[in-house]
Amino acid sequence: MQVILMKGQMQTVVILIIAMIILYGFLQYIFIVQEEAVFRSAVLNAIQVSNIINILQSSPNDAFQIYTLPAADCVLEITESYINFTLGKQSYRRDFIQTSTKIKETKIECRKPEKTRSVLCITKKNGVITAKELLDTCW
Amino acid sequence: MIPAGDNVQEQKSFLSNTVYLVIQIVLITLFAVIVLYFFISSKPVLFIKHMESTALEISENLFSSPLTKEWAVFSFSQLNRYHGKIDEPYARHCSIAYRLEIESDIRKWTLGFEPNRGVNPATGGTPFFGETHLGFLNEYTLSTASNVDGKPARISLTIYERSLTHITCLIENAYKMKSKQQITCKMPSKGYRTQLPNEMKEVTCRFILEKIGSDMCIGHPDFSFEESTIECRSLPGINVASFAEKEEVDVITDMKLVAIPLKTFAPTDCSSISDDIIAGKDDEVGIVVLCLERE
Repeated sequence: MQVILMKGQMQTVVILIIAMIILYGFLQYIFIVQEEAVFRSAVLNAIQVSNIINILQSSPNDAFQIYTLPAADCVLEITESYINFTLGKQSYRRDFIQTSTKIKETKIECRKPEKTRSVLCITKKNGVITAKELLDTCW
Repeated sequence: MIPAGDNVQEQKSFLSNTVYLVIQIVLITLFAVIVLYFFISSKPVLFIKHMESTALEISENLFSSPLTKEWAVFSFSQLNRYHGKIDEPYARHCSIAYRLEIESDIRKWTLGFEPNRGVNPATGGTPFFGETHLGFLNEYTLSTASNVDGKPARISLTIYERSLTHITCLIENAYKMKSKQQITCKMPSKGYRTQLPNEMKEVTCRFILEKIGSDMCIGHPDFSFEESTIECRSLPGINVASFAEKEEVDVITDMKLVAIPLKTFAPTDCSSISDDIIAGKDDEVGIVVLCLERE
């Protein structure tokens, strides 16, 4: 009777240990996937903003484009030759085409209360491309 | 006193239960390992057609550039001005170079980045860029119909992403931003390099770089600069110290290629760069120095 009881307890302990190992493995995987997803999102956002700037460079003056940033802690840094998009701990840099159009250096932090999304307005005026947060209108 | 038969029966039952338990544990563990393996070995991959979109964006910018009289109508005189030059006028992308070929019924113009300029002295002048491990990354060609001074023409815009384009971009950013810039590069192993043909799809750390006139030229470290494969990209107005990395490694290693803008005009050894000679936001950049650092 005692042997059967011990055997039952051992079985439970072993199954619990295995379950914990599986859980740990799954959690690790989830963290890896989350970080990868955050990085991919940074890549996509950087590419999309640089695409907008590249197209605006060949557009006529007074052209503009509105872009919605993700509802997360992010920093968009635009320099005269590249964009750096930081999302959480991940960041991605993307170059854009250099033409006679000037690009105004700017840094936009998209930390919003209650996870609302920041909206970006990218405009071309007098040969200068400017990105700023949309408050009321683009102009 | 327990009868002998009962004792044997109990021992047999205990043995079979133990064997059953061990088999159960082994099976569960095996199942767990297999499930974990499948989960951990899978990784999400995102394919972004960035070469296609970059080619389109460069073409859009060229179509509305001073190379044209009106949208997509190229000017004969402007094309003559840049014909045969490796400058990438009016729509220069930092890390991707372009080459434009325009062919009308009358003549053909080519301008922009020229790949495969060098030859292999060992193979009697046969171009060997693919075997040099200088880092060939991506290439994409966009072909479309256009117009030169009212006459129909065919346009072929090829964009190149290579080690050289990333290195010139690194130098350009360090110069313009007046701050240290870095990229990850791969130091190819000797074994990897001897497996020919074998193109490296990463920015290489093993190359020689020299500025010739206003062009930045990359060469193969196993040959002298004059005789090795040379590929050049125009980078006017920026002084760069010559760079040569000929180190041999046993295993392919990730390293950091760092561009440091200095106040001085004299090339400086990487080990002797102190903070007081690194250019800041208010300083004029004299020269950009390339250094390799371990990751």
